Amino acid sequence: MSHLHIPDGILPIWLWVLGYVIVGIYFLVVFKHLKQKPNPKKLAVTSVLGALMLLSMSIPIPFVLPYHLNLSTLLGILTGPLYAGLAIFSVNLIISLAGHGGITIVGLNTIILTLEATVAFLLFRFLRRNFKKIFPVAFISTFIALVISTFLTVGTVSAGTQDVKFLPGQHHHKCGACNQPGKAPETFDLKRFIMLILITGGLGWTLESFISGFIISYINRVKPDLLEKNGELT
Amino acid sequence: MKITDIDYYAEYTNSRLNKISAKIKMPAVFLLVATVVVSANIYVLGILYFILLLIIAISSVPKYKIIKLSLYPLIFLALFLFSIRNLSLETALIFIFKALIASTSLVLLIFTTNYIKIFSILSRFLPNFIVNILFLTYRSIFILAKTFESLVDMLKFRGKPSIKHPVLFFQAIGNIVGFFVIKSVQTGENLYDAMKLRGYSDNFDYLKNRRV
Repeated sequence: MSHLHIPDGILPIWLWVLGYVIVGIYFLVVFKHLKQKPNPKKLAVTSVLGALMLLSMSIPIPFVLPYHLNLSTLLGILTGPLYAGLAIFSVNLIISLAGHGGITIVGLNTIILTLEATVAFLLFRFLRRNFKKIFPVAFISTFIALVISTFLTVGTVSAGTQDVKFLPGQHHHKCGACNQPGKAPETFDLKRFIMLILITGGLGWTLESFISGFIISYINRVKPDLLEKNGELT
Repeated sequence: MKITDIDYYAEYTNSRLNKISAKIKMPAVFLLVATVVVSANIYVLGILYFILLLIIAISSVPKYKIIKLSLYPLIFLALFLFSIRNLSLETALIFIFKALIASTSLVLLIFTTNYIKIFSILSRFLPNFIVNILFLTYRSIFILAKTFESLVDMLKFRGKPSIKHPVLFFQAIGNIVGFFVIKSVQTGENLYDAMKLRGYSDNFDYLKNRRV
């Protein structure tokens, strides 16, 4: 729930084009970074972790609603935000081709999930320096990152529904049909949307944070150097 | 639906749609998505969806699987539609058609066209490092899928943890995915080393000239 699963043709054109433009700027930043510090091996490892993200999405977690893991926070913690964004873009593109979310929304989803990965990376680094127990550190980093990205999702939908003319039913309002008894204009109820997102998302945040806590605890036991490199995997 | 299964259908289904070049199918899908984005005419959208269903019906593609996967966006569309006050049937149908046309056309594309062919065309517009990531991610799915299947088998033999004990259940999932993360990092390093030994020059430029 921390990213947009909205199909194509719903959000206004300016919004999703803006998403792609921001992703384009991000690619430019990465391009410059890779020119200065080329690390093709890390690109390969990030790609495999992207594939892991895709596979984890196919593990259904039966808990009231059918959830699946997202793992972008884990990707952020392990690879750092710069590389995580690349894998997040490719995962979003691949799943959108499989009908999971719109292809026009890939840019916006990449931004939201990359910011989620960035928040998790920074929080994890900060908390790890100050606290000893790894599980709560991983849990809190993931949870806060998921909450922030969910509110980014809500903000994006809110920005896209400010001008309600995009709703086709709105023409009733202009042509005066809404003056007829029983015909009220269609409006997007942001409060109701937030309620629905919080009900479904709240469970998802808790589940993902719990599992991420266990995943990072396991990595810390078996191969702690992966967590000690601050995103420098290779 | 697993991506490995979709890849199988794209590669081995013997339908006419599979034989059409990706250079034709991709612009067609692009046009459909563009129509979905700009049109709010219920009749245009309804007819387009009907045509897509007709194409699926007369082609020898896995019909049930394609339609089932294409319905997935409706779950999330429902959240959006529930948030509209005084929602009319017309508006609901327009949004449903928009979601279904885009998802059905994309799902039909990937069920009849190998991802590699799609990436080959996209590689003409995307920067090199993104193309690298796309190809490597896709390749890794198949490598990791084998490990994943072995892990699932192992879980079955040892007895799956039950959701009735949520902490144990989530811990087991955490341990499995944690193992998988470590395995993935090692796989990534080995994959890169192996490709380097076989002459990989940190790009997939040769795929741009591949027949699609």
